[in-house]
Amino acid sequence: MGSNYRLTFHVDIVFCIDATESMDPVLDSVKNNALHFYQDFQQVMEMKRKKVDQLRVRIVVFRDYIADGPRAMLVTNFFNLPEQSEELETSLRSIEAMGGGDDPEDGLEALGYAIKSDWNHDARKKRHVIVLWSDEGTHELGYGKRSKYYPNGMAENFQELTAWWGSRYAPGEMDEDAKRLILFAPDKEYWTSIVSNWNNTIHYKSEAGKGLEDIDYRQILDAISNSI
Amino acid sequence: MKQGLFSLQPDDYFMINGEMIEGCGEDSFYAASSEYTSVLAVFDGCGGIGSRKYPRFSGHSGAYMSARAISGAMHDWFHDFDGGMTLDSQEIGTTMQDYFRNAVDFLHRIGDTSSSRLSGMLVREFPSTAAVALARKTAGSGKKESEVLKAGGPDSQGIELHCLWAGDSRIYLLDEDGLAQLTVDDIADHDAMHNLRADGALTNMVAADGTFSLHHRVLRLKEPVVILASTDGCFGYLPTPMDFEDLLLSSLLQADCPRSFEEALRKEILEVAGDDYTLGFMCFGFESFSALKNHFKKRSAGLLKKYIRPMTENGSEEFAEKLWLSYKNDYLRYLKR
Repeated sequence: MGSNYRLTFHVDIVFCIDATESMDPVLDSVKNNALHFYQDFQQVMEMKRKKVDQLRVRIVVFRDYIADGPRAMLVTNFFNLPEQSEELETSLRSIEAMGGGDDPEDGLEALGYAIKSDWNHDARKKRHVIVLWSDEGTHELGYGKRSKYYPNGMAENFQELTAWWGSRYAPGEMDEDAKRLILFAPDKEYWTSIVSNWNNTIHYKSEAGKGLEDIDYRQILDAISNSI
Repeated sequence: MKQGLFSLQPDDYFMINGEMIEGCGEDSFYAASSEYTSVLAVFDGCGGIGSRKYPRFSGHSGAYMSARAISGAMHDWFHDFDGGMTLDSQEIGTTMQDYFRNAVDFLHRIGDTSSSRLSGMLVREFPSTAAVALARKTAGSGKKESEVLKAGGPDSQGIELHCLWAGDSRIYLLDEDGLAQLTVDDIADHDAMHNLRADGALTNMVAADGTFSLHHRVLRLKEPVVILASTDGCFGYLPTPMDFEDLLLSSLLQADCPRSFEEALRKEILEVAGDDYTLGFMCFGFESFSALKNHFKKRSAGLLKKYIRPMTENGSEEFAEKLWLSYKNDYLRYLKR
């Protein structure tokens, strides 16, 4: 019975990790969370009989352009999983907590990199998920422009970054139906503005890597695995 | 199976319901039939945005609780208003919306939301879809023509069908011209084929936070006719809308009695469902189960020849899209009016 035409499910995840000095006590926990996250997510999808045909994970490590120069923003390409799971783990384990300068970090630039990822845009069911961990608020976009390492083509301000994220009425760089943003971050700017203004977001008000209750973790996994 | 002259008992009706994870199903339903009115109602708690767990509700999710509370409200509404017979057309919509609103507001009042540290636009309070098919006898109903979208011409007599919905659960009609969607999904992109792949976000659903609309359409239908109410677990994981009609008709034609039809349908849906699933079925104007089967033999053969077999030979997405463009003209015939 039925035709031979079949749907497939592709999932891309970008982990944005604050690796400044203040993250030192929790960074190992964040790395473990990241490794478990894609595995737990895949497991939840399969429990719901959503077979993931392709799973890719990318890492964006962020600090502070003014304080950390060339180590302010480190990115990988997407790793195809499970084939490149060892390379992913090696990359995650290599992240060290250092630098950071003042309290806020360049987390908005990290989101800019994540949003502009080379997402899989095949006309199939898909999820494009950004997960970000930080223990601080963010600078204004462009705060680190005087650093020679600051990227060309970055969103000029928060309004432009918001346009990159897009909305139902004015889609941005990401697929409106596929995109999800999960923030493990304190209740500080600009995270609070993002949660108030960007669609398809979940904010877990926390110190990154600390105190995530199992009940909340399962809610996050359900929120990104289910239709909305 | 034949109904009386003025009563409206469906010739057959049943409800299929199942859950992906035992004890965690977020679908619910209500079905009832009085002398003059029959109702099929399905509810799909939105597990993505309603995944918050409530200790006050034994750790169940807002989605789980919402679908059940609205189902209870549907039961109350049906009995309080004699299946809607004491209400005019407009009152059916407004009173039902009030009952649903009160049900989720009650959950919100007694559910303790302080235990969660989660916020954001992916977090809603007690969200659920709703799709209600309420069939009433039209003879002597005295409706103004403007209130009723007529499917059978000005002199037709038969069934007045009220479709009330919020979200992407659907009401369908099945007749000799094939399956027709009667409700418009609350998703930004209304294309049924595209939404099978895109998994679009709902723009409206019953929920305790914010406002919601319970859409209401009225159609006058001729018998014989089949009415279905379905959550997206039944149709949302099939590759094309044509496959859903094929699933319905092939299950019917392989059965030798109403109950074996129900079982065949359950088995086929379970095979493809990627979510909790609920499907309500009721039919009017068929003398017997054989008459029901015979009525759809020609349509099933045409569907197989024109759509299903060609897609078996050519499994490409482009080809499925091309066939959908041909199919959707009839599939949307009641939405164009």
